[in-house]
Amino acid sequence: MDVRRGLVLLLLTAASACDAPTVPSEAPGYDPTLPFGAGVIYHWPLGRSIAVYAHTAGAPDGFDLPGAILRANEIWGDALRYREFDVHLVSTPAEADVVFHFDTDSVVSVSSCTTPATGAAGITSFCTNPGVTQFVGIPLVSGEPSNVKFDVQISASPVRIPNAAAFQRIVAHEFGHVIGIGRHSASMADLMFGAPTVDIPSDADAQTLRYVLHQPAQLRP
Amino acid sequence: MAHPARATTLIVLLAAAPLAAQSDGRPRFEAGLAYSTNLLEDANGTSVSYAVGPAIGAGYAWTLSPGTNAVLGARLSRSGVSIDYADGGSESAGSGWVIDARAMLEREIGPCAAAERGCATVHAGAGAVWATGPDDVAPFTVDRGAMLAGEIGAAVRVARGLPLFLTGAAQAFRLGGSTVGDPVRETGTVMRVILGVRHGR
Repeated sequence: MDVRRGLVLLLLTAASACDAPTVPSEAPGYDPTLPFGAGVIYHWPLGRSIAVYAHTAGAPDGFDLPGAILRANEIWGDALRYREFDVHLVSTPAEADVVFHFDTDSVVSVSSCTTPATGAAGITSFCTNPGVTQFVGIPLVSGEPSNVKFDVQISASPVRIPNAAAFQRIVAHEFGHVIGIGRHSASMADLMFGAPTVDIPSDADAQTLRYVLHQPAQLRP
Repeated sequence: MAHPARATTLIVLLAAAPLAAQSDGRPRFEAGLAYSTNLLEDANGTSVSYAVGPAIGAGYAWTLSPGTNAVLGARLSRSGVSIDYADGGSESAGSGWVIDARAMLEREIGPCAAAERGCATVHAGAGAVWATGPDDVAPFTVDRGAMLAGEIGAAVRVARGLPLFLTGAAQAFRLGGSTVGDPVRETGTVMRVILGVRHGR
């Protein structure tokens, strides 16, 4: 019957067109790996809401730390396509995955952890196990263990961070380290340049983040 | 990617057939469940899809010639949107609507004139689909407007006297590459299957 032949033809046509809409692979804008050995990829489990504690003691006037963290989450979130992470603020360090604070006052002790050279406007620190396969909790200053995996120290010095715009930029840059970008970009056009001069992630920053989030993590929080 | 104006033109052209047919228009209503294949697949292993969701629809049929009908129909379905990551994780990302409007030719292939059980019909048609979802999740991050769609399907009458049919339809629409900034760079086909019941010949 003509109708049946037509239906079979339509079905075959439909089956042959079953190529799913595709987002092609993307290369990183720059190397996002931690500079250990051949480079180590780290990121949070995808879809995770990261608990962040903003310790505001010692904040210079006009520096809104919780607001800056949420703004950093927003601008980095604009680079995402699949809600790979989100952030929520918590009220105590005991509930936190990440702690942000000013250098004049901390709530965790990173003395036994990997800490980059000091002197920067922002410093992101973490602790790992000896095999560098897992982040371990950074103890609170009271000595109690915690679940905090990243400690972010922001300078309160007006020499290093002279105004609120620079403060927001530094918080956003350090936030980039927290969510998985382990190195600095060599380009001044990128937020992850060592001394950032731009306020939002560039296309290269966005590509790098999207790339690293979907690589197998050798180091997980 | 269909331009909205093109899809509208197609519907208008296909709608011309029933307007010229006999004036024996019959309303029909349907309800069922809709399932779709992935809305996108990212080379990084992530996929986004609609979950199975409820669908309702309405239409109007006209007899073109004995055993052949022209049908105009529209359907609305609501489904959860889920994201599946390559690392095995998944996330529910809210929900979205799918609306379709289509013009179809339908052929009766059973004892339909006597209004008996077993009356069967097959149909094929074309139209447009509008798909919505959370605007921070691809493929909903860009406005796609109407997308051209094709559909085939069948129905079987399950009650004598009562115009109640079991229905099944397979629908396909093309998605991707629509605008600058669309992350879905390679256009592909999304298939939908809608199973349900219909009241009305």
